[in-house]
Amino acid sequence: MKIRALLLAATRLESKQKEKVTLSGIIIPLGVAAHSNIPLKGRVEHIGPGITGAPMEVEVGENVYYKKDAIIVEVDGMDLLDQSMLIQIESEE
Amino acid sequence: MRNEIPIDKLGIPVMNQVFVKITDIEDSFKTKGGIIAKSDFVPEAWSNSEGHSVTDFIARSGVVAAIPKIITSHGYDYETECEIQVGDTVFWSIGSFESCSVLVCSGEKFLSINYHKLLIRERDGDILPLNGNVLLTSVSKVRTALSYTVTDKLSNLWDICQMPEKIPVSKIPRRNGEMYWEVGDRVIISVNQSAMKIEGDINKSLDKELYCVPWHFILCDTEK
Repeated sequence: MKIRALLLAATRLESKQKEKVTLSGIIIPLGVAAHSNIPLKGRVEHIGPGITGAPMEVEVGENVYYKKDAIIVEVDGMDLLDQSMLIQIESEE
Repeated sequence: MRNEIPIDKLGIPVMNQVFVKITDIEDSFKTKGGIIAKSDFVPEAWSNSEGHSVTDFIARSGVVAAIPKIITSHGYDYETECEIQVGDTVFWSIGSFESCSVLVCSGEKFLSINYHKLLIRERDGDILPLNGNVLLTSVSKVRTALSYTVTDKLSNLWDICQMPEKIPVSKIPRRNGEMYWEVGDRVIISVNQSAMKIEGDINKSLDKELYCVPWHFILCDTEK
């Protein structure tokens, strides 16, 4: 899969946007627009080559966190997003 | 704070972002009598610049919790190196909040701020300016007219307090060159620029009022 310079494709691992459990145990299903700040977690499958002065800092196989509104488009079941929209890379510690 | 992002575990930031732990969002201060007052009682407490309205209470310093793997020049016109490590206390200007995110992890708040927007770092009590910034202290000017004397706290004269250890290499050739000035020199900075104030007027942690400018803003030195 060929991707433009600073883009990456990630397979979504988990989505905490599906529902929220209150303190008393009530499960509230979340809509698409609700809680957009809750980050998604995905595994990087493909990365772009980067550009001069801004190399790709993520590698294939790493887990990354990003917000739902960072997704440009879904392609072949993967989320396509820009590296600048990532929140963080999951550390191994 | 607005736009908080909840995360389970702090990871590795990317794209020059630095995760900084915020311990004081500086929305209040304690008076000498012990009364805790909101910051908006102090005029322009956190703006400290003309035309800036106080609409939010903004922290200006924090402890570094995570740094990216590499520092790049993406979006900036100079090459620099990472001069901070986890545990350093870093300071940034009030105008650095344009693209910041607040991460909430285990009840603690972390600010994701661009490394290039950091002004100074404090490590083991020692202060060092970052990103080619020069630390200055203001020189007041006294104006006299008839029998009236007015003291301007800020003037076009500045005393160099601290020099950076590393000078970034600018992609604009005319900005590169030797550093002619030393700590203690009295200098004039570029006419159309103003120095950035490190801390506001309340909840100060540094022992003196410091300002900073990029080193290429210094025009010349002058006699004291």
